[in-house]
Amino acid sequence: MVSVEAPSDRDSLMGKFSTWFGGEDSTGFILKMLSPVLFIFVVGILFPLVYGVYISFFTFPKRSVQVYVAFGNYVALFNDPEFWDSYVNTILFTVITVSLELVFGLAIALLLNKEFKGRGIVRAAILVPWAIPTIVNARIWEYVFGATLRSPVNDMMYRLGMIKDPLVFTSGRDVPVNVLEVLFTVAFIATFLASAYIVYINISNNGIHDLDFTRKELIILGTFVLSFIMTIIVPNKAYAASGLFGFTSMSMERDWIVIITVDVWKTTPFMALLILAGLQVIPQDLLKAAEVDGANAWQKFRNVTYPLLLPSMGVALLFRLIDAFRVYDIFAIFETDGIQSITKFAMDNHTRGRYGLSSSIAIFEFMNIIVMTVVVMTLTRRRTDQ
Amino acid sequence: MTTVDRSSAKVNDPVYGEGYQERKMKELISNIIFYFFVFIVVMFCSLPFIWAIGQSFIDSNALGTRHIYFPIKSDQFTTFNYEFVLNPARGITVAMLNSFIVASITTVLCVSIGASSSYVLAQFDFKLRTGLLGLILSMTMFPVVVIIVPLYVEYLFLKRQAGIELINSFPGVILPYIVFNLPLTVYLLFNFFQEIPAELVSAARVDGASDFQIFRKVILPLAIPGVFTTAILVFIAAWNEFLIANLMLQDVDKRTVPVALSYFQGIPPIGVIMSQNLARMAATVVVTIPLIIMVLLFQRQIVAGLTQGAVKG
Repeated sequence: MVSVEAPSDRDSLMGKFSTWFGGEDSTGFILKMLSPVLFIFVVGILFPLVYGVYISFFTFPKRSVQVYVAFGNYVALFNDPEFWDSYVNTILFTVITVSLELVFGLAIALLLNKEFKGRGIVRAAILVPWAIPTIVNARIWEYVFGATLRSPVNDMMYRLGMIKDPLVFTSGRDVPVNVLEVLFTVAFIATFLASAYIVYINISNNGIHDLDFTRKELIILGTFVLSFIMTIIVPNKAYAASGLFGFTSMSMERDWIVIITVDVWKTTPFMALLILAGLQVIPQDLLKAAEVDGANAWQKFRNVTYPLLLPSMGVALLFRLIDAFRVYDIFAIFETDGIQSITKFAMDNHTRGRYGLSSSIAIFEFMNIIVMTVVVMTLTRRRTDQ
Repeated sequence: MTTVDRSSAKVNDPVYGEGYQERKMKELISNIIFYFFVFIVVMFCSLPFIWAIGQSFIDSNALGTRHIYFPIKSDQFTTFNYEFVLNPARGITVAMLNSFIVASITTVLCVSIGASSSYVLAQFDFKLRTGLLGLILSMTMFPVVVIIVPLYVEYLFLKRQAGIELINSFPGVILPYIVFNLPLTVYLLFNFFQEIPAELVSAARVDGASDFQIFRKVILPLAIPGVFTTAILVFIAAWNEFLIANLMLQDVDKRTVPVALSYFQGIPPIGVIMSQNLARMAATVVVTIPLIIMVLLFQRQIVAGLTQGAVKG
């Protein structure tokens, strides 16, 4: 690049500008090119942010009247049990959905990490949940979990003899949840997938005639068979038996099942895509070398794939954590009276005209996200240094 | 007979070697299990939507007390749900037009602002460069409420003082949309512009082109694939956005798709029996079709754009 020293007017403001933005003859060009982004930054970020902090010290008894209350909004906020409720809900939502998405996403990415016929179809299918608006997604699942036998989940549970009356998933009422039943179903699905994968790995490594399972794998296979049997036997009797164990039956605040399903369905594919991209960067020679050294599939994953995957997985995790913590759509769409996310709580206060209070909630949320970002970044960075 | 002969010939054939059949069998079984898993993944992703399409064609008069599964019988089939949804009185078609306008303007503005700034950030060296880039990228962290609450109060103030109507107007929504899509845009285009060799720029400069000419005539034509990828992502994000639109666009004729859909109840005209859910499914399908088409056409670009951030970290 041609670099001509700027003339000696460095004491003037324009001179300072030119040292910040280049000190070359292109300074004018750079400034002109950056001016839209600087404008957006000042109008769209800097001013609202400063103004947001400012109005969090005021209350608005009327739209046009503002009263200075110092830290009154923050005090009111931290004394509000509803706020802590929404805070806990948001954390719960973030932890549950992100961990589920991470596990499912990793599984899908590991599965798809090879050349095969029909890759394009799979990629298109994977993008569908990501592309459609959350509201569409929520409406679909609302119907799936509908409160009558006209909707599939209740109908299927009825057909299987698990229920006599349709369960209400999205009505603001508590739903009785049979913990045993849920545990067995989860164990059934998880171990079923795990067993099939184990058999698949074994066949592709050893052949069909000399299957050679390790003890860990046998435990998983056994759990699958056991949970399969239990899922068939238990449901019909669990309701009768739930009185025996206090813990087997508890009530769950209404739409958690639906809310988690909606979010997991929407973002698992996205997570899988990000992790898959990270996987494809891992050099194949390393895996081959490990294979030559006699590492099995798990050891290869644990000692080669996982450490190399961690940085890109950290980025994906960070994006998802921030996004999940800011969740609004799902909680707003279901018009949940019982459970709110922190953003929903802020927006509700906003629509009631409590701009100061909602601004203080927003700033609290932002602080949380900054802390979260710093924690995740230091954690993943330290691991990669090893 | 012949098949037996051929396979036994292969067993003894030095090319296929011993245990050919077993290897073949092993491969087949592992392929079957592999594709079974792939099938599960594809179903997991697309079945709910395919099911919704199916439900949207069910005649509500045929609806009993139980769920209707595939396949739908001919006496249960109807297109009435779609006629109902596409009626302008329901507001879905207007909302789609609104969404298209908002998303297009956002995309054009966002990409042009992003392109000009990220070109400068990628190809020029100046003191504030890293700081500015970090600042723009850190905007990803901002929760929407932090910006939107004060912005709303600002809009109220502007309306009161200057009579500028920004609530219930598209410009009022487009500004925050640009703000929240800018980090991704700058990030993607920055990576793209960095790969353009600096010799190209200096060669053009030797030929006497000015900086603007270089940008317009040399760089932009090269950057079209990257700009296109970014534009698709921004368009989809703007089309799907709910929080800001829900707050700012409450007028019936200004609503975008997600807002209109959240108000869409599917209550039928008098004299027509209709399940709310069936009409809602039709509405979701209508609204999603443009996006599905985009995804199918541009899946390669979308995946490239989405994963760029993750890999380069």
